[in-house]
Amino acid sequence: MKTLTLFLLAGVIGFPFSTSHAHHSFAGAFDMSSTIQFEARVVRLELRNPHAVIHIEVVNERGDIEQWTIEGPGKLSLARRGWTDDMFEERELITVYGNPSARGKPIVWLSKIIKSDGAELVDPLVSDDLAIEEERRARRSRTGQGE
Amino acid sequence: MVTNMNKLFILICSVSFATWAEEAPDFSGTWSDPPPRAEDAFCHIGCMIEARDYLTSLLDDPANDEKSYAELKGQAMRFQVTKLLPGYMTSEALQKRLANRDPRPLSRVCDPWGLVRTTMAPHAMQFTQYEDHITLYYSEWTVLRHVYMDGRKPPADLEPSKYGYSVGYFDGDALIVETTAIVADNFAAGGFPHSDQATVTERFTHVGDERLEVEVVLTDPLTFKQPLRMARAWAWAPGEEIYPYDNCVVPE
Repeated sequence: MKTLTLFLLAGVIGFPFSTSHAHHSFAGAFDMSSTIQFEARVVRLELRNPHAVIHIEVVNERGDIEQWTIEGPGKLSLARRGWTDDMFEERELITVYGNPSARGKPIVWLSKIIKSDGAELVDPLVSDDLAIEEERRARRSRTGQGE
Repeated sequence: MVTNMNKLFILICSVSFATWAEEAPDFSGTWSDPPPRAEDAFCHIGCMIEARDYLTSLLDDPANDEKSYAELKGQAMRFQVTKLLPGYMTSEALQKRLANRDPRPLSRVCDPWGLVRTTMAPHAMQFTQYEDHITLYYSEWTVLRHVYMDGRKPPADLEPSKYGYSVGYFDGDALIVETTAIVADNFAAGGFPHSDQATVTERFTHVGDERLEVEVVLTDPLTFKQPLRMARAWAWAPGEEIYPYDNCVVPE
């Protein structure tokens, strides 16, 4: 299949998002301390509760196609950030950043997706933390200037 | 024949009801997650008020200026889970909690949350006030609670249930909801465990027109040496939808 010219990077990368989902209790299911990045083709998005699932295809180092899933927050949480059932083009090429399965399964917890048009879709809890951090640094900067 | 005394009684009751109806705060509508703010994000699924205050102290401490918010939030959560909460628990409850620990992560369980966690559930919550009762409809697990506002007392022979039996009343600008007869919950994964002797008191208040706060007090002499005080907030979110939980499937 010539469309599957993807490559699974699958390396642990330094990711600027320090996810802290302690109260979501993902520990044991996902390794929230590391993030992997890879490219994939979207097969199907299921915006549902309690968690949304994106079915994807990736190509591993041997050139074999693997079926993976990206798991993310539930429908309401994503819908209020603008997610819709038809937001991905058919077999859209995406770049995935996710926390890997703690048990070696072909599944990741959503950290960030970069769509083919460059748009970024970030886990709402992570984007909230980043917004808070940005506001905190801005406030500190203002306070520092006032001294 | 209506006597003058009866007329006077009816008049007093009418005036009292009219005054109550006029003064009762109105919480009706849909509420959801507040805009990003450090303490609110920490209390996304509820938090102990002492832990929230601890986070505030961390954020205010210049010695932590180089640490990220996520780090400090994690530090406050560890403080709550490993120090604060165990300090409140009786030694028997601590032993029981360890023995009954459910190894499954919460995200791998297709089982609606219990009452305590639901009282501080994130995302949308629809508040509907009727003449004699209130309903609370949560987007998390589409839980629907009824709160009786007609002055009744809980029946004496109630069997504990997942969401218990809730009665409420207004206290000035606040709505107070008291829930009893709740089944025990050995919530090990970041939640608040309790026995079937627990009672839960929620105090809802408006902060301005667009913010709703709840303080939740969990009292359970079999589990805690003193009541736990917890909190959560929502923001006014008209039009936000609540979606069903159809065929809950754990992907892995």
